[in-house]
This record gives sequence, structure tokens and C-alpha cells, in this order.
Amino acid sequence: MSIGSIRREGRDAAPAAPAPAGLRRRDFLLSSALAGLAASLPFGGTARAAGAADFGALSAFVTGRSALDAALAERAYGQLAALDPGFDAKLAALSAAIAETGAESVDAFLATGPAPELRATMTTITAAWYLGYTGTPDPSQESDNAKLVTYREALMWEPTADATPIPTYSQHRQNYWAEPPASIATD
Amino acid sequence: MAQEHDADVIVIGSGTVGSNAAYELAKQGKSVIILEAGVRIPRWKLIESFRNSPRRTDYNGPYPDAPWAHTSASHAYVENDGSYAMVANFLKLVGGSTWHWGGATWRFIPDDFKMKSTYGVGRDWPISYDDLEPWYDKAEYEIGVAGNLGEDQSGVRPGRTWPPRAREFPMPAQKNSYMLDTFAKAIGPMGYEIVAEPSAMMSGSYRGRPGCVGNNNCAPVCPIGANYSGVFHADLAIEAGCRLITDATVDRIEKGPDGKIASVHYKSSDGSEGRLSARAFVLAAHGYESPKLMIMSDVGNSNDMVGRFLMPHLGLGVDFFAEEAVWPGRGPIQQGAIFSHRDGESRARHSGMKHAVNNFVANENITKRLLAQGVLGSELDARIRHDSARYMSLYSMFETLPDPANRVQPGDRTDALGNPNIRLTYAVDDYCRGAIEPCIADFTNFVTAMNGETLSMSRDLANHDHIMGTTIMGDDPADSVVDKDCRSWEHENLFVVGTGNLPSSSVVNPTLTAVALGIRAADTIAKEV
Amino acid sequence: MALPRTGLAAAAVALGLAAPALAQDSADPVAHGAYVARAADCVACHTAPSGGAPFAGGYAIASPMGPIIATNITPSEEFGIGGWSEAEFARAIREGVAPGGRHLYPAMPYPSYAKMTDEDVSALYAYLMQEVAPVDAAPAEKTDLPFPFGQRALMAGWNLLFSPDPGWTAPAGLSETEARGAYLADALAHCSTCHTPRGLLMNETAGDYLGGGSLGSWRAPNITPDTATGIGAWSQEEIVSYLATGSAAGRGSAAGPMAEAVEHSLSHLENADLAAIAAYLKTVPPVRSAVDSRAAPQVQPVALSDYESAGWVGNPDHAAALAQHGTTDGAVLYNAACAACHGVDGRGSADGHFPDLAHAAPVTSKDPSNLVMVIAEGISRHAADGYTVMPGFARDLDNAQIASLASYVSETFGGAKTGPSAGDVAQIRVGGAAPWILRNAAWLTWAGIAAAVLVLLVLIALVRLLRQDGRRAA
Repeated sequence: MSIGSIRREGRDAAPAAPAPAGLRRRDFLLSSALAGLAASLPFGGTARAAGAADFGALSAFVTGRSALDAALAERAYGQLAALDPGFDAKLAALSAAIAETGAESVDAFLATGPAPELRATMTTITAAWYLGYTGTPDPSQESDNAKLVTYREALMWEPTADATPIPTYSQHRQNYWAEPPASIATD
Repeated sequence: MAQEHDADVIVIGSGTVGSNAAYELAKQGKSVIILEAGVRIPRWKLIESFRNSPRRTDYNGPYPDAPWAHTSASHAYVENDGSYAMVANFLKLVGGSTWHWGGATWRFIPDDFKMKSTYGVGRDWPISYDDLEPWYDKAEYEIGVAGNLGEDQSGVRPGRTWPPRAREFPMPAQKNSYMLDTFAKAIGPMGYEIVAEPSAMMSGSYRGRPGCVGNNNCAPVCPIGANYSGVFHADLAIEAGCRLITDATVDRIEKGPDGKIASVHYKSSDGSEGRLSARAFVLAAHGYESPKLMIMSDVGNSNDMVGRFLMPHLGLGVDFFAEEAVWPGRGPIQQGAIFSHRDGESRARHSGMKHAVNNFVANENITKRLLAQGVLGSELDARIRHDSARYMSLYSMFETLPDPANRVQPGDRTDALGNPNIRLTYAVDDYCRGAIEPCIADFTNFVTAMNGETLSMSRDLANHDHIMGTTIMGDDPADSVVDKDCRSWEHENLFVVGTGNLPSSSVVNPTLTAVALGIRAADTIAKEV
Repeated sequence: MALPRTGLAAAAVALGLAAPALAQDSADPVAHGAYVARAADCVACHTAPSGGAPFAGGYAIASPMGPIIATNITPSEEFGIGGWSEAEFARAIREGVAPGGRHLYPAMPYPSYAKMTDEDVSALYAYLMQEVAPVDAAPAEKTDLPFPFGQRALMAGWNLLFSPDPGWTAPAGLSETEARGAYLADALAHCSTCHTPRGLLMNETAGDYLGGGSLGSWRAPNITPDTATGIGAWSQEEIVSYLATGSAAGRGSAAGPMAEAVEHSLSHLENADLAAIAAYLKTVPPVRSAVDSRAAPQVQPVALSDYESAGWVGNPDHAAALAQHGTTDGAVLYNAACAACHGVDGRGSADGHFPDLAHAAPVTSKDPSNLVMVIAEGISRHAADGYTVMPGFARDLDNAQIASLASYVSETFGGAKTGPSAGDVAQIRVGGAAPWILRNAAWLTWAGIAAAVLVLLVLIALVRLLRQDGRRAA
């Protein structure tokens, strides 16, 4: 094969979640106390099913989507929790922080200047939904810790859905590509 | 003397070259058995495999790497003991490694056939471009190549169709993407010209295959078969009467008392073994595996030339954000090429090169980058759109020279069948390194032309998945493996075909040249058996 | 689109035909005859596939009774029609009786060609005799139908029952254009040969004229103007587009034998003649088919979990998993094999390039034949707009997988309650369910030829009475 593979693969790994943020007991208590105020429930050692549902709700907030697929939430949550034993605590901290600010949107929450560890949790959640996998795929190795959440429903395709295909799924007849997308004047 | 054989011809390997040779032999009325180490996997299964794997940028990811038929995915199977670590991706399944390729089907140009006499470097071929032209033509019409007349692929013969050709391509090139056209307009004033890449990603339907509609997944796997793969000729060969045996790894080529090859011995994953005889044998098992098997079998190697002269394509890459939206990802994954340094006097001093423009949907690459930068919220969607529309990447391919010290050999490890692994020895020479700065200068110009912001431009040579020289063709039995007909110097009924035959690497993808040689060899065999 | 043009030109040269088709009203009888030959699609059957000499015969026409081998109709004296007079030629193509009294089987559509005008028969004769290169060889295979169908003399009785008298009479009440269309459709293109269902004795059933028939593996759907089950909703332009290119966006895409008819014949006709056929089809009595359906069905929602799984494992287990590809999960098969073009939701592409399956006749029909055959064999069609291909999957899917895939498609996108079984697929692919006369051939034979003849005589008497009341409604 001829290989643009070199370029395509790149070597930039998926953003890794930073080391467990050393959640302080006070934060955890706070998150529990504020649970009733938040859209999502706390994550302190609840059962897996409840965790996945809560993860779905928190994910919807973080990704700015009104709703996300529950089955995918279960997949992603299970995988992330398996990768990081402290993941529930991080979710709880993030929930609590969101509740504390009373932010009604992810942008509003980001405007409050959340702490780096909260942003890291948000990035981990966002990566799972946008890239459609958890862990870090590394084709230079025989195997890695990456697991599929979804290919077709990965959110990273949405912003360009009118302009480019989800690879393998074609949208048009041959040579449509000679013209730019209709949006070119404003892109 | 009448002798019972299992077939007129046995072909080892069902990849593009082996299958084309087998098909040609069958069309000429010969009985043919094809032995394939891997199995047949339907295209839909590979698509399912691709979509369900998180390793989307792994070109071997959707494919099998079996303990009894290892591929380059196994790090233990392909080892390096030279100063430059080289792994050329390859597959083992019916149809071979063209399952995951960009469909680039270039011809070599006449000077590629006489590097020594023209530029004083490398070797001359035992045949000329004119000798091979009719076979290039046949190969192009077998495969279904889309390309344009009137374009100069040498870089130094503006306005001429170069290399010359007896007739037009089977079909015209696809239209350039908007991105490629925009880029061409930007670099034109600097003296750069983009020529259409002759491509097996077809511009129209051909021989039961649909034309390309821009699924943008040529590699790892085209979902609709618009991109050619050897499996098409494996299927054609079967329809023409060839017998295909899968899960059959040949581990020994056996010589008869008369110096001819008498039979081949193979093993299957379930432990069963087989032995088959024929009047002639075609070894088309890949640029690493064919020489490895010859050395293992002590066949055709009394001059110790088998596996030497290993030539890859090495090269650099650049990626950048163009100032304006160009929208990569619309159309096939690659289309055009730039030959600012292919032919001409500089070739006496350093490698010629090809620059090519990638056309991948950039979203995954861009999203990973943005997340690493901490972009979140609604800004993330906006930036994915903005950046994906502007992302451009190019890569170059440098030619390399044949050096007997660069080689492939059987290693000391064994696979599940007890066969040795592949050991590679390679060192980069100054001829190749000499191309780095001219290439960087071109890259810099490209970024400038697009008012771009460079993301990466490395001077580290990367290896492309092309393997040449390892069963080298020549006119001297002392320093080559096969003669001008791809016939082993030592065994008159053994023909070794594949990209390993090529005595020069040129700067372009070698598959079409190997197919042309393979069909030509099959035609020679058909006259003899 | 230079390639398709080149391809068509090459095909025309290979067939020894003047391309493009010459004007139907040409004063030159040979050129006119070439056009008649195109319109009557002689070459489709009288040329062997993959490079046979034009008109030298050899194509095996699949009939329920067994293959019928088309004959050599080049002007070879010994092997073709070179020794035939024009009158003998006319009798063969219009009455199904070759010189020497040998009866043809109605695989040769002489019941349609019977309606050809004297002028067209004469021009066709002139073309075949003067323009076509003689081939002095018989087709490699010979027609050899099992008893009793090997008895060609039986066809005399069949002809008495079902073959019309020679000559053309335009149906009453049609405009000049519609009448021209009727002539093209009935006398030359012989649409009814496939699109009119067959009766017990393999006769076209007049009351269901163009109401949809079965060809064994393929179904020729209802092409009457019935809105729900025919082409009543199609515009004239859509019908013309379909005939010229094999495709009308949102309406249909020709496959199998219809793709051959488009490729060899219809795509070569003048636009005015295609428009005439379209105009005529609008005038025939609508037939409400019990099999075909054109109504847009309710598309079932598709869940992501139907087609994506997170169970991916790395090698070497991956290699073992890949070697297992016998799944009969229709959702998995559809999304891996079909969704790249037709979409996860079956809706094709917005630009109409990939057909919307919810509006594809093979998907909405109650007869799964065409769906099964298109999945198995794909589409490979040269026409006025180039060369169109849909890959076939016969190499990559077994009958059980094709059955589950066809079922998923027809149930998800076509409103069907159930789809075909693996057994159905096997039967469709080998030529479909046997017609009554074939299923009962053994019985007829054992009961004795005399009894069969008696039955035939009674039928003849009955049908003659009926026919006196008037020929086909159209």
C-alpha cells in the first residue's frame, strides 16, 4: 500500500486523563450534599447501572447534547471505570462542582474556571463520546487498552456532517468532491 | 517423457501478482493451483472488523494476524537488526496486501530502467521500458487504472505524456478534489505542477466493480471494492479454472535430480501437510516471504544474492493548517503527486522523490489534537469544523539504491508451523539522506503557498510499505536472482515474481510494475508448459 | 464519462452493429432493419455471452423446462438463415415455424413478433442477410428439453391456442404517438413476454396484460398504470429515463434481464420512440397486482446496537474471529455489506445516486426474487448514462445469509412481515418455483399422451370460443 498512513497515524496519543486528582474528602462530602441540586446523582460507590445512567446525564451536560444513547453510556462508563478505579469519585467531584456553580450549560460551567482536575475529567468524558473509544489506541504496538464505544455515532463526525463523510459511508455520487461544500463561503 | 503432475503450474501466493499470473496462465489453458498461506475473508467482514475496532489508523487492524500466518502486525515475526528499523506492512489473506493500499498504479519511467548508465548510481535493468510497455498496458487493463494522458510524470519533460504509452488509460482520472485544485493553484506560481495519480480507485465502473464514490476508506479497506485488490484476480483465476488452496503455507521448495523444481511442500494450521508437483512454479509470496522461502529451501541461492538489495521507499511528511478551508476528506484518500525532483541531474547525487497529497477525513486526528489542548464545550465543535476544513498533509517517497548489505533473511524465531520469522537488516545511505533538505525546501514552499501554519515537519525518514530488490532481476547470473523473464538462474522451471524483482526502486509505488512483470512471466511459462 | 462511451462503442463494434441506432423511418431498408433488430433485441438471445460472434447463437435461454439454446441467425447457408427466403424468414419469426416445418419454442417471442409489419420484417431480413457477417458454425450446445417438451410438434396446438395471426393492427382509440408506442412495446420490444403473467400452459394471460410475471429467478413487475402496484405514479420522463438508462431516481434501477433489455435494446432507441412507449404504457388498463407494491412503507427504526459491537479483540483471537463469517444476523450483514451506500436507514443518498430502499420495487414486492437476485448477482448495466455496477455478494454470502439479509431489508425498509428462507433463496437462484405444466409434466406423461392431447383439444375448443369474443382487452 502507499501510505499516507504515516501522516494519518501521527503519534499524538488520545488525551490521557491526568493522574487521579487526589479528591479531597471535603469535596466529596460537598458533592454528596449538593446531589439533590444537580441534574445528576453522585457517584460514590453506587451500583453500576445507576452509575451508567448518571454518567449518561453528566455526559450530556459535558458534551452539550440534549440526550445521549443509554446503551453507549453504559459501554463508555463501564470501560472508563475499568481503566480508572477512581473514576466514580472524579465524576462525583465534577457533578458536585457543576451543581455548586448552578451552571446550566457546559459553556457556562467552563466560564466559571473549573479546576484542572475537573477539566481533565470533562476531557475524559468528552473523548469517549467524541472519538468513540476509550483508552489510547496505539497502532505502533501489538495491542493497547483502547475499547470501542461507537464508530458511527462518535460525536466528532457531527460538526462536519454536511461536508465530509464518516469514512466507509459515502454520501454522494462520484466526483462530487470537485466542488467545495455549500458552506465554503462561510467556512 | 510423460510424467504425472498435480498441475501444469503451481503459484505460491494469491496476492495481486500471483493472482494475475495465475489468471493469465488459466486463460491460456493451463491447469493451475494457487497456494495461499491465509484464508479468504469477505469484504463485508473486514468492514465490520474495521468499524468495530478502536484502532482505526492501524492499516493491519481489520485483518488477521494468525499464529500460523503472521503479518507485520506481529512484532516478534518481523525483527530488525540493522541501524534503521523497518517494518513494511503486509497482510496474509486471499488477495494479499493490496487489500490495504492507496491504489497507486504508476508505471516506472524509462530512466528508472537505466540508473547506472544514466546517472552512475544503482543498477540497470536487463530490460528497457519499451520492453515492458505492452505488459504495463495489459496490467492496466486487467486492473482498471484511471489516469490522464498529456501529463509529465518525470518532472523534466513539461507538456509531454511521460512515460510514453501506446494507448490511453482504461479510464480517465477522477476529478481532482476541491482541496487538490486549490492547492495546485497556490503552488503553480512557484513552479510546481500536480499530476493525476494513475489509480486503481476507479473513475468509473469496470469489470463488475463499481466506480469510486468517495467512501474515503481506501485503506484500511474499501467498503465497495472500487479500489482494486488482488482478490479480484484471485476470483477471476478461480472462475477461469484455477484451484485455490488456502491455509497452505509453503515451507519447502523441493529440487529434483535434474536441477528443476519438482514439488512444493506446505503445512496448514490444523497440522496437516501436503506436497504438490507441477511442470513450473511461480513464487509470488511477497518481497519478504519469497526470498525467505528460497533461502529456507536452499533454492536459487548458490550466488548468495537472494534476499539482498532490499530497497524500501523512505520519506518525510508534513502537516499544516491552510489559511482557508480546503476540506480534505472529500473523495478518495489520495489523488495527485508532484515530481519536482524525480528525474534529471540531481538524481546522480541524491534520491529522486515524489510528493503526494493526503485526503483523509481529518476529524479524528483533529479531535485528538484539540482534546489534548484542553478544548471543551461548544468551542470543541466549532474548532473541529474549522480545523478539519483546513488540515492538509503531504508525504514524500524517496528512492533508495540497491545495496547487497541491506537484506531479508530467515530469523531464529519460529511461528506456529515451525517456520522461521523475518529478519531485516537495513541502513540508510547518504544518497537517500541527500534528498532530505530539497524535500524540506519543497514542504516549506507548500506551507507558504497556503499561508499555512505548520503542525509538524520532521527530518526523520519514515518507511513506506514498499519492498523491492529482494529477488532482484539482472543480466548477470553472478549478481542477480532471476533473469529478464523472472526465471531463476539455477532452476529453469522456477519463476520468482513480485516487487522483489525490481532492480531500481524509482519514486513511485511498485505494484503495477510487478503485475506487468508477473503477467509477462506467466506468458513465458505458458509457452513452455 | 469517456469509459462508458468507449465501452458502448466497443460493444457496438463487437456486435457488428452500426452505432448509434439509425432512424426508424430511414429510407434505407438495411439501416431500418438494424433499428428493428435493436428494438426487437434479437442480439440479446442470438449471441453467446462473453464475446460470442454476433447473431451466431449459443445463448442458453433459461426456461422452466430446461435451457433453450438460441440459434445461429447469421446468413450462413449451412448453419444460419442464409438459405431462407424472405417468406420463410417471415414465417419463422411471426409464426414460429422454421423452414421444413420445425416448430420453434416460444422462448423465441414469435407471438409478439407476429404483430411486426411486413415492412419491418422485410427490413430486418435485409439487415440480417446483408449486414451481418455469416458464421459457419452451429452453437456448441443444442436445445434438448426433457420429454414431453422435446416434442416440438406439440407447439402446433399451443400456437393454435395462443399465437395471434400475423400483421399489425393498432389498438383502437390511441393517438399516433401512443399507437407507435404500442407497436414498439408489443411487436418489437415484446414487453409482455416477461411482464404478463403466464397461464397454466405458459401462455400470456390476456386479462393481466403487463400486470407482472415471473421469469423463474427474476420477477418482471407490474408495469400497468396502477398507482399502488404498477408505475402509475411515474412521470412520462421517469419512464423514459428508466428505459434509456435503466434508472429513474426514486423509482427503480434495472437489474437482471431488464438491465440486459436496457443495455442491448432500449438504451439504443430514439428518444421519441422511448417517449412513445412511455405514452402507451400510460394507456393500458391498470392491473392491481397481488404481488408488487409501490407504496412507500413504514421504515422500521434501526438501533445502533443492531450493527455496532464493542466486542473487538486484538490478534491473534481476531484472526480466529475473522475466519468465522457465517453469521445470519441480518442487521449485521446489512450494515457491513450494504450501508456504505444505501445508508444505515436504507434511505440511499440525498442526491439520489444510491437508491432509497424503501422505494425500491425489489424491496417492497411480496415476491423476494428480485431482492435475492440483486443481492446475489448485483447489477452490471451499460446504458445511455454509462456503466452502472452494484457489487453482487454470491461469493461472500451463502444462501442462509442472503435469506437473512433479504429478510432484514424487506422487513426493515419494505414493510414486509417475513422474508425468504434459505430454501427460498436456493430455489430462486436456480430458477424459481416450477410452473404448473412442469410440475405436472410427469403426471401428464404417465396419464398418456392421448389424454393430454384430449385435454389440449378441449382447451383449444374452449379458447377459440373465448377468442371469438374479442382479442386482448388492450
